[in-house]
Amino acid sequence: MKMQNIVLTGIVCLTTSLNALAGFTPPTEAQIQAAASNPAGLTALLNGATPVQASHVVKTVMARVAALNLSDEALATRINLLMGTTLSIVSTTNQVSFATMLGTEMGNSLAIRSQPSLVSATQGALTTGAGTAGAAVATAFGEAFSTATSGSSNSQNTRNKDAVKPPSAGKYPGQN
Amino acid sequence: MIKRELTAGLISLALICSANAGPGQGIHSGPWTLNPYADVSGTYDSNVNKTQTHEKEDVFADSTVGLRAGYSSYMLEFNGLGFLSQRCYSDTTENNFGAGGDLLRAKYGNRDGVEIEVDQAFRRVEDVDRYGNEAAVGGVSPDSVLDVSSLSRRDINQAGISVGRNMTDKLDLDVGYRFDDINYEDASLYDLQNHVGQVETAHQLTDKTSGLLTLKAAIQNNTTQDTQAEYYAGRVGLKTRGTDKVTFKGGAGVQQYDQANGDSKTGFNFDLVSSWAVTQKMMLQAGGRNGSQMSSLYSDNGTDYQIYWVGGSLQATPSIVTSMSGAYRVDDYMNPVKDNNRTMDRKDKGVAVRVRADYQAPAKFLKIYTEASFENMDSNVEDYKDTRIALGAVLAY
Repeated sequence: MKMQNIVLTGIVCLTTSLNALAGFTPPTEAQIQAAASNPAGLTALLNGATPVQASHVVKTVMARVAALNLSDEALATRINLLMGTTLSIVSTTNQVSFATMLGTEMGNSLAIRSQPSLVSATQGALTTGAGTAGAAVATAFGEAFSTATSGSSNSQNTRNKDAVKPPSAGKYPGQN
Repeated sequence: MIKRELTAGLISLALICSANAGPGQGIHSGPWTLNPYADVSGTYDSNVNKTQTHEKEDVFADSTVGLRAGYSSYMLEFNGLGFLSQRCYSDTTENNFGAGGDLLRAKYGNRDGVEIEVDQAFRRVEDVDRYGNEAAVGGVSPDSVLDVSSLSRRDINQAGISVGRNMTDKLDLDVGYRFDDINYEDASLYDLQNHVGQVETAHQLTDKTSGLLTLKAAIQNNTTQDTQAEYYAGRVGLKTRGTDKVTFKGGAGVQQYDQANGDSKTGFNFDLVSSWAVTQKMMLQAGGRNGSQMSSLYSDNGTDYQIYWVGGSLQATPSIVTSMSGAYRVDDYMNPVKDNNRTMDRKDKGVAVRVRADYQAPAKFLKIYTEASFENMDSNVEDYKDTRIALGAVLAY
């Protein structure tokens, strides 16, 4: 009996340890939807996430917020809460690079691109939420978002040789 | 069978009923976003046939209807576009044309694991390929397929796949392949195909800078004549991590072009792009690159091209965005060409400038824009100048 308890305890400890080691778990659709409605739920979704994973999670939640068709005021409040939660988890040293990745991810999402008020609310929330680094964080976000969405801004081409389109390499600096 | 269709119909109806929609902000249902739109414009064109002599001015109307679709989840991001458009000239009605196409892009995963991007595009176009820039295939630059005149009616097929991964904290790797195919309606123009493979690694050197190594190989086919050229390029360079107001990605190296006639040529190769977020409302971009590609105009010939460009945008007020872009391009044909029984070395130099202002009306579904463009081609075969001024409106749900 004693041996059995030791084995059971060992299994529980091992499972707990493995879960802790596993860290981040990709969120389900229901969890994403829930976090969009209740920003407090975002904390659990970002547990153990790398900046890359965090930017994907936040982008997906933002896309669901865009689908809620909130008024501009309600949208700003929701985004402030989401960004506040996010910035409290992302370490200060990673905030600028996180904002860059988030700007790129959000720029690639049609749901977000089609709601300019959501983007400006995010930039505002980053400015105020990131404290003294707010301006740098918001600028990094804004630039990455603009870069991700402005692929056609330089499409003009002499002789309209349209298959040769600047910029090249399919990617801008700062994009992952 | 009927039961299955009924079930599918009911599910669709439920989705539509539960969808949130706001004019100008798209139709949302869970991870899906649909964004139908219409674009109408009127344009004055100073030289509709882009000719050196007998210039003819005219006014034309463009009308486009399209649908953008997006799907966004943690692992998958999908964007799709379908459009149909029609152009009608006031006087030169023989130039009227219709166009259409689709662009599909799906991105799966993230770079901490593996990120896979798959792209497909088809466009039947005449004049400027307005959606060409949206058809870029991630990670692989688009050079090599060239159409000889923007007024040529053509079918463009593009497809590609790229795979990217952050191998370590400091090392990123991207591998990509793209296929381009262009078919001209005019039988005197050569149809081209292009297969490009590219490998790019970025190794972090400092907190803000990574070193780049890019290797590229391409096979270019003239499918009309069944001839083939090969192109190779290798570059080393730098890229910033995008955390400063000024960002840069660029490299320089060598290229080799093996022409269909057996001639081989080695030269300098470069590719760079930079951007500057002047303020939160103003952004500037600039870049340049060169390469070699087959000609659709002359058999057994190709061009060494260089292109330099600048662009910028300014959010002047919350409802007005202005933008400008300019490009300078040089095409240097590799072999002498014949023109009016003369044999000559052909060189084209072109400049194009475009300025545009977009006004977002209080009604979010309406955007009004005006655009002016100027193009000047300086060639020892044929010059032309063309000015266009347009006024248009975009209605989007």
